[in-house]
Amino acid sequence: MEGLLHGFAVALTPLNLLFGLLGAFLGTLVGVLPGIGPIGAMALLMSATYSLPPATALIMFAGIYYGSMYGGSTTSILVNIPGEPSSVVTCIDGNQMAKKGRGGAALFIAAIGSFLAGSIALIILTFLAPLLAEAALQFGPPEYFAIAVFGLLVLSQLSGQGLLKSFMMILIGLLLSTMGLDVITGQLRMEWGSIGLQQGIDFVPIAMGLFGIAEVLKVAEEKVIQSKDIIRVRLRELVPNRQEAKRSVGPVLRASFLGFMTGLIPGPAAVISTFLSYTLERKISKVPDEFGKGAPEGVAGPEAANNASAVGAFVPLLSLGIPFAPPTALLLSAMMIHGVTPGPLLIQQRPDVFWGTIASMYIGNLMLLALNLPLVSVFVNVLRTPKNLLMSCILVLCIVGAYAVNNSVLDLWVMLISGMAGYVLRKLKFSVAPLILALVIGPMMEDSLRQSLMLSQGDLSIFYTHPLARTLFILAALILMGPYIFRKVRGSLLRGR
Amino acid sequence: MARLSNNSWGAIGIGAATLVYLVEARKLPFGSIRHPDLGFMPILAGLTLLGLCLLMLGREIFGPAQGGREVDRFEEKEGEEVEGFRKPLILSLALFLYPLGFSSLGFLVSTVLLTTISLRVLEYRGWWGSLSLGVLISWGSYFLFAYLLEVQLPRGIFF
Repeated sequence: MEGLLHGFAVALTPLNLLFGLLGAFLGTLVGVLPGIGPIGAMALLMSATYSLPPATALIMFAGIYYGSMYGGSTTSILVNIPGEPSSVVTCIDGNQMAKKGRGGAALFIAAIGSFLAGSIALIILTFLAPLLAEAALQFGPPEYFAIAVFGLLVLSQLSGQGLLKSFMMILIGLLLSTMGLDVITGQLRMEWGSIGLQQGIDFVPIAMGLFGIAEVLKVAEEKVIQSKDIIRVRLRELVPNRQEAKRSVGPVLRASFLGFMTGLIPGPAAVISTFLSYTLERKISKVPDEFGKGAPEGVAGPEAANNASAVGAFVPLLSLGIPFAPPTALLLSAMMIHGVTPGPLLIQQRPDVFWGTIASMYIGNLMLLALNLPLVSVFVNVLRTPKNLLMSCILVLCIVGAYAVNNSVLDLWVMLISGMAGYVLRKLKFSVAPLILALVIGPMMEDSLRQSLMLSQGDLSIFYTHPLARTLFILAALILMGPYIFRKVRGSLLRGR
Repeated sequence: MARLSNNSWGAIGIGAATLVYLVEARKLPFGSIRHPDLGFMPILAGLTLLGLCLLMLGREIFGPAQGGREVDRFEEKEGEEVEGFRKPLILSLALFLYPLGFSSLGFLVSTVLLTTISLRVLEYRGWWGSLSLGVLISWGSYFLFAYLLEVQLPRGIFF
């Protein structure tokens, strides 16, 4: 409790409040705009935070991340365009409600649901993160290696592109992470004779390329997109009726816990949590036929779930220093740029960053509620911005952002090459999320593997004799093999009938 | 000759890049499982990736036809029509030339050129409209980053 109060003292300083608000606003904005996700926005703004204190920068980035979860619902409901993948499910019933003249109520349910779920998830985070950080102090190299492998394997199963492609992307990320200085021996490797590559490839230019530049190139190949009709909502139409409010309470509460738990799992947790919540609500509903035709549960559940999962994703980041999703990988990168070493010692070494970020999320949640409902029409009108103008601005932001990391033209090249590679990979239906995560986790994974092998004199049973490592490897194997076994069993059962 | 699938192209491209990487990684000492050295991870990961590329290629060539069928669930959006590779190609070319201009001509001049080209490629009005907006975006970003946020951007020949 003392730590949280200290966090509020940090988060409530005028500077941190201002940047928290800015982050929440920008997050909502990128949530509204399809294409520029929170990862792209954080990467673009990385250079703008160099002169800020670490806690302030992290508070802003956290605001962008959870703010984007709020913003996505607005366009899903009013325009039937999901600003974020995590708002795809909201389109189903949200837009149907809007077409029936209940758009205001749907927005209100989404905003209140997000706020409540975010708050519940934050309370769990406040208690869980320090406990996990304390437990993590006992972890050695085998445990860290197991966590990294577990994270990457689970992500590969959930990225929706097939295991082979996911493994390939993970390995590309690992190969890129091996460039530059080797931490264990202090020797240089894979620097190709370039002084610029001696420190390795920076994560930020690669993220900017894969998400920013690749998006610009993708837009360049599209024909001009017809703007969709935007359903107008007046402030007085925002209040849901009693029946809608009553039907939303249960889904929000269930989705808060479901979303938080999903956030702890590596991968696109926010997206998965919305699908899980929607399926659950439909299954237990007394009126399942109303789903797809404007059921308030179909808005309340998924919107609450994606916010809770965004908060849940902070647990492994803040307590273990391991990101399980691309947006938290970017947050980790931001921490390292600002000289903050993430991990179990963060709570002791930098309580201002640890507790300041958590406290700012409580405040940010309130800010988002205050921002989203009155400014709904402003955010929706952002969709009218010509895409060609927006993309040209993104191009310039990417250039400045990549260059400013080290004031190096090499980073510019890295970003441009990553952008073109990202565009080609998209065209070939390869998802880059596993690559991004492997690039960030790679150094830790390699160090812990080599240290484990040196400790055990090459005996691989070290990963079995350590209980946590063993459990994680067994879990990862089950998750990998689960769908295959399930298909086999179902097939043999069907044949037996 | 049958048309190569998306997956085959991906496997060939990634495999070729991995081969280049492995040639460089071979120069590093591998060590042993008891004492893994500098090249342990690069060589192991590189060889595994190469193996996966071959596996994918083999599956695409000899397996049942399924090339490019796996689609990222959220990749394809409704209402988008694809025009072809001409515009991304022009933009890529401009982007490749940009770092050269960035070092010699400086941020402002090279960025004005790039944004003008990008606006034209993205079909923003005519050349003059694109040029005016390109100047505005470049100056705006220079003012924001170089003056307000003190990012050291190269000034170039005209300043």
